[in-house]
Amino acid sequence: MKTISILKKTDKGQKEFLLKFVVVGETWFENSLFLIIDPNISDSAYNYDLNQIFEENAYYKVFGKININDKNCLVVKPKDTLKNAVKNPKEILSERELQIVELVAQGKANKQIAKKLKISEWTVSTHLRRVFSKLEVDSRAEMVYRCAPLVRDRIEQMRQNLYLLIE
Amino acid sequence: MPTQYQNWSCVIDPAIALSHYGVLIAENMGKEIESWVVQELWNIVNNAEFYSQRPELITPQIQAFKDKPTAETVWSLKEWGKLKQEQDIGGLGLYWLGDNLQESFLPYGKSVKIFEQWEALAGALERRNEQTLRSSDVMTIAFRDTIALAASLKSAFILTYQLPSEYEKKSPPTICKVLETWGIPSQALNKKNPTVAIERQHLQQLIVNAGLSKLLLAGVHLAAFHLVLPPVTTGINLLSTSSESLYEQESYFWNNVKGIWYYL
Repeated sequence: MKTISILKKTDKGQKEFLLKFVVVGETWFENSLFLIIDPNISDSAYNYDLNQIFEENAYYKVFGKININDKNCLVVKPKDTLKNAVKNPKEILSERELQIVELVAQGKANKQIAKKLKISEWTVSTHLRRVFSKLEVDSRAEMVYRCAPLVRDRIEQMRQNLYLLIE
Repeated sequence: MPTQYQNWSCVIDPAIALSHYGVLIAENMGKEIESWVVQELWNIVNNAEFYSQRPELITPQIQAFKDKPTAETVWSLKEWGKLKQEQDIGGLGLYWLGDNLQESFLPYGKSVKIFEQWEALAGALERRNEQTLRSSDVMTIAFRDTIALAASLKSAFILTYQLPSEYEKKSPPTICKVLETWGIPSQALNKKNPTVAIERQHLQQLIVNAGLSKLLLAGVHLAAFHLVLPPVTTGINLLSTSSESLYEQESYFWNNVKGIWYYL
């Protein structure tokens, strides 16, 4: 079950609460990601104005509403922030994580990646889990898609280095 | 390192490492006792820019209690950054297990088998709690590695703490709560327990010797956490067995582990 989390400060501004919303669907349109979320906060003892929450937070904005099976859901669009845009994964991922993303992008399986980096498969899968968590993705394909420009740049850089060596 | 603590190891809980006191403890404990951190801490510290913008990802108490300000985590990240810039981490008496043996930092004379053992135990813990752990966050990985590290080291205790508000509610430290979600029970021991009384005195002395007495004087709720492991399987290399008996051994091992803890 995929969720998104939003930090909400109390009126006094002192404490922060983590509100979790269940993502019931997602779609890409013209290179933008839209999430359909269930607006119910099941475990909250507080009454929140959802529009206000999304207005205040830095990561998502409400794009519209949609009724699915008699349930009023919100369509939210991730804002262009570090958390969501991942324009420069280099600033988000460590060197080892970038190596692994790059090898996944080349179609390598965990076993092959482990052999190449001289680490265990289990360690590769731990790194991937962390990358998934940082990028908030659920699959290798989505991870590669979000890191595509960087992976292309790194492979191009490697090619150039190789070309210089041959010369 | 003083000889009186040569048979002991201290594993610094990631929750306390990323608190106000984390850097102070890391700087001082290693002078007195073999002290360990998990690699996940370095992954976090080395990626401080990202985590400073997403502190909720590495503030474990926020998941459990929903009221711990993330400002403390951000502050702690900055302190770790300064420490790494200003000091040689290798000289602090802090040890860790990295992605492989070559990327690990072990005490002189420590058997390299510890790496295999730790990886096997952490992997086994993950397989046992696949549903909880597979879809988990960065701090869950850190707790998993901490528990496996404590299980791999001989006579290790985990140095942890409790937030004042949770202490008032008699709530156990976060690491105990995490273990409970994995089906591993934790038992709080009373300070009056004779063995606890002896060990507590030693550990308080250790804290004082390490120059950390102000934590005790200021009323920081430090706690010592021990894993009680099945003696039969302790020391068995889980990686070297066949896959069928491996699963049985793994299950037996973690099904018979329990935690005990007390406040210092």
